[in-house]
Amino acid sequence: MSLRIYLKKEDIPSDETLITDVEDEYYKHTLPINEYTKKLFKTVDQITLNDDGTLVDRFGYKVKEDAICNGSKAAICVLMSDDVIALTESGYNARDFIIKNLNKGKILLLDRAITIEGYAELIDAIIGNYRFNTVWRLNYYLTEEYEICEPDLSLEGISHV
Amino acid sequence: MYEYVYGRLTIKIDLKPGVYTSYGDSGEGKSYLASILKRLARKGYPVNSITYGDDLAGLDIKSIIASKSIEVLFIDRFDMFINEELSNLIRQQTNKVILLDLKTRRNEIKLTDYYDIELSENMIEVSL
Repeated sequence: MSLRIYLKKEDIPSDETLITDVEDEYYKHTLPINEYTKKLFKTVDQITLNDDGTLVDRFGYKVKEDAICNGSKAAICVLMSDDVIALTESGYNARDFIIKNLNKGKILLLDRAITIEGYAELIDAIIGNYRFNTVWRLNYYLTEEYEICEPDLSLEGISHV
Repeated sequence: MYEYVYGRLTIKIDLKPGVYTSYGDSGEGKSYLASILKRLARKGYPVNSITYGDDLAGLDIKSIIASKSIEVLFIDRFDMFINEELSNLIRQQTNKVILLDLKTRRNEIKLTDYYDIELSENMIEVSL
């Protein structure tokens, strides 16, 4: 299983549903309490997710679930939903977290102005017919090859699906 | 500088009138600031916030944007409801600080600059 990345709306198969209102989609799911969500909230929101489901902000105050930012909600939706999640409202840090921590789910990634932070971190992401397993190789494809030329399969970090 | 107090929180907006957007990270406190400004508005402060839910609910967003009695306005989740009419209206506002949560289509807005939000236990500070 891999994280499937679409770079254009037109690339999304017609039998797939694109979710653009992440907040609305988020509240259709029950918040899972696992290592992914705990790490997500710590990294993006600076919120601690306790095993009993309570949330504590960086100042020690208990907060409700609606304190979670939209970027984190998008990251939860990618984990929980079978649909394609548009990352329109996700900040770069949330986007990067999804790509570096998930090997499942589907996202629409339109904004590629800023590259993904990192270099040698292992990922498992598919774009079209290509699987990427390092951050740097994915960044190289997005900045130097996508819509310019066929990807260089002799460079490490990419393979045909 | 605009300064307001809400409970234990002091909100400082250290910006001149203009249109600003954030750099683009999640979890900075944008929606939190928007919710505080909304609560201050209900108490009669010259501030307000608008979000996508307001647009869906049919709120008169244009009147809020154009209001001369508002000195600080936060537009949250603007990617979800930005359109040409609202962009033009925002461009016409010269007497208020307009803070946008806008990650795409920034070229449709004439931005003054980017803002940064600093959160501490008792303060929300917005500056360049």
